Amino acid sequence: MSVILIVDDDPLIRETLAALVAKLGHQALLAPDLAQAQALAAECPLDLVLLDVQLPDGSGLESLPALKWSPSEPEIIILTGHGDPDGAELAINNGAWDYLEKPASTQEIKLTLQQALEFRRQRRAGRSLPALDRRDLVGSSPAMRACLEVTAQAAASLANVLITGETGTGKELVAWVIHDNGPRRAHPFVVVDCGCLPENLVESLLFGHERGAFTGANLPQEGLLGQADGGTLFLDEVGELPPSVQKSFLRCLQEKRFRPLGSRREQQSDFRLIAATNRDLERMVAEGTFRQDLMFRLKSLVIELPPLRERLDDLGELAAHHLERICQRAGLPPKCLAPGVLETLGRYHWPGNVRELVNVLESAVGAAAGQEEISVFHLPAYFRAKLARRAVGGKSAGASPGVSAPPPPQAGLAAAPAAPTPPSRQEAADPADPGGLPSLKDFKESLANQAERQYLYSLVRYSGGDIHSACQMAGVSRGHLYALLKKHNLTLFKQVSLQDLSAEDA
Amino acid sequence: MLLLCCLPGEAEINSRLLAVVNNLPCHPQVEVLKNAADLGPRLQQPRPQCLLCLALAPSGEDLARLLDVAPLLQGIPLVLVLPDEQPATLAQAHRLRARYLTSLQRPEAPQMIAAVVGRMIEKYDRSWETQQAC
Repeated sequence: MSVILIVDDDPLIRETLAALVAKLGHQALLAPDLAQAQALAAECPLDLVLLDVQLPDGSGLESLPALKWSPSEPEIIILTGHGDPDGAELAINNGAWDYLEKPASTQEIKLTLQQALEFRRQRRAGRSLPALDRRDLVGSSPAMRACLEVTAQAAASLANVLITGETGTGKELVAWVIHDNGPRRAHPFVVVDCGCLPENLVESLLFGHERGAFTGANLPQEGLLGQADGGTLFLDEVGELPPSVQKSFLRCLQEKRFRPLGSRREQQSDFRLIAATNRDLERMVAEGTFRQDLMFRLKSLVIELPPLRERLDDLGELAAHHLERICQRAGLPPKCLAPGVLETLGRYHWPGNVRELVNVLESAVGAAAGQEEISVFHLPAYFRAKLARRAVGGKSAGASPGVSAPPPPQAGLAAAPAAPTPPSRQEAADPADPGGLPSLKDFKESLANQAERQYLYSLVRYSGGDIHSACQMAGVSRGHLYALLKKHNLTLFKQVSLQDLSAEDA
Repeated sequence: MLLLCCLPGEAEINSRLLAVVNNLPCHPQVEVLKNAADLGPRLQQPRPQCLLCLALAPSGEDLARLLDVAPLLQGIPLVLVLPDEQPATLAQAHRLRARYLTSLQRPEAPQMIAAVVGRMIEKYDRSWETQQAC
């Protein structure tokens, strides 16, 4: 017996569906609105949700992800009286099992329910897979959980896997996790970096060659395909595989046989293929630069890694994991993020994804050498400068794509200012518009001024407002320090935030 | 971009490989370690944003030393030059998950390394610039 939640504001529909569910031998729970549905989803182990779209307190489509990723991760079937193609697409993209339009026949609803419950049964059976050794694959956001689920499936099978995602999302790491958790873990994991190998040599490196097969082939060479026998072949940046090689590689993938260059004999290799790309292979197929048949072969299982900006829920877990790793590696005592730093990290767009986050933390650990907490001031200058710039841009020219909203003022003295940047009018100098450049003298003065102000902010932060400590740290007299503070309109107890600074810079 | 070169080989081999990296058109910053045992401590220090590693293992012992620091090499694109291409050597080398493997037996190795490292640096520089421009 399965537990099915029916969410519909029409009592007649709720009752009719409940009767159908009971007739099929399942238990029905009823909710007239989203609030009650979400409360039930949080408390009860649900197998399936029949979800209306237009509900008194919101749209079922918008709440779909929250219901889908509630503790029991139920299947969702949308049942709406106001069907539209965009809504249907959105529902499926958000993980709905199906999208039905009212009035749907009893038979149609019954069939869809049975299929969805059978799918769920199989999915849960698949979860009896051994737990993954995730290494550095960190995150528990819904998007990451979905990826981990497919990764576990991939590790338990020998199907070809295609891993997609932007640069820095961890495609190679996922490939390692699949290999290291799979039945071939004792055999080689052979990397082929298609993007870095010279085009004219990819074929000989992959398939190997005999002596004299081409000019310069003075020695025979076993190809990477042969070296991967029994293990895993990881084709990184598979989109860069030259078209001339795609055809022969496809044949090898189908038959697990290939002929080294210059050889008369075919060789066998029993390898498992994992490929990765940050390119849109379907588009490349449409443009004629990638073979469709090869793409279909690669896509037996697809793992789409989300960009970091789409799983900011994981930021804290990722930061803690990598901070621990970096400190351990460097033999430093553990460090943590000061209050407010995580929020600052969350305002960034992360074009370089997790790899960029690791680099940022690496810099921060270096900058915070003797301190237990990493403050905003320890984050790399480029990072703070981009945040400040975008925050200013967001205020003056609408929201910027990199920053969701200007940071709220922070309590205490935790926040540090952005890296020195020239005043906005001068900074607005576009390389394409040399007329907008300030003079070198003005530029240097403004930088020095900002650096001084930045230093004073940090001094206030680190001295804890104590004038004696501040003078000692800065190596200036009390009078000089007061003069400097006055110049920048600061006091030792002024509370500052990145937002204050951005506003001043603007 | 820092190209960390671990070159514990004989002077002649080292200078051939150094000539390769010094003649790269992209002129990366190059740091040379003459002893494989120095690689671990170096990798424990703070790292620059973009780091590549070219490691020469002129003997099985040197390869074993590299394997000892494999966890520290994780995430760093590695070009590895092996003493030979025996199946056992290759199998061990793949545990380092190098982006490119070649051996001292191959006369064409220096040119190949130049081509691969050059492309790698271009790729990572491009990726870094794109990231900065976003």
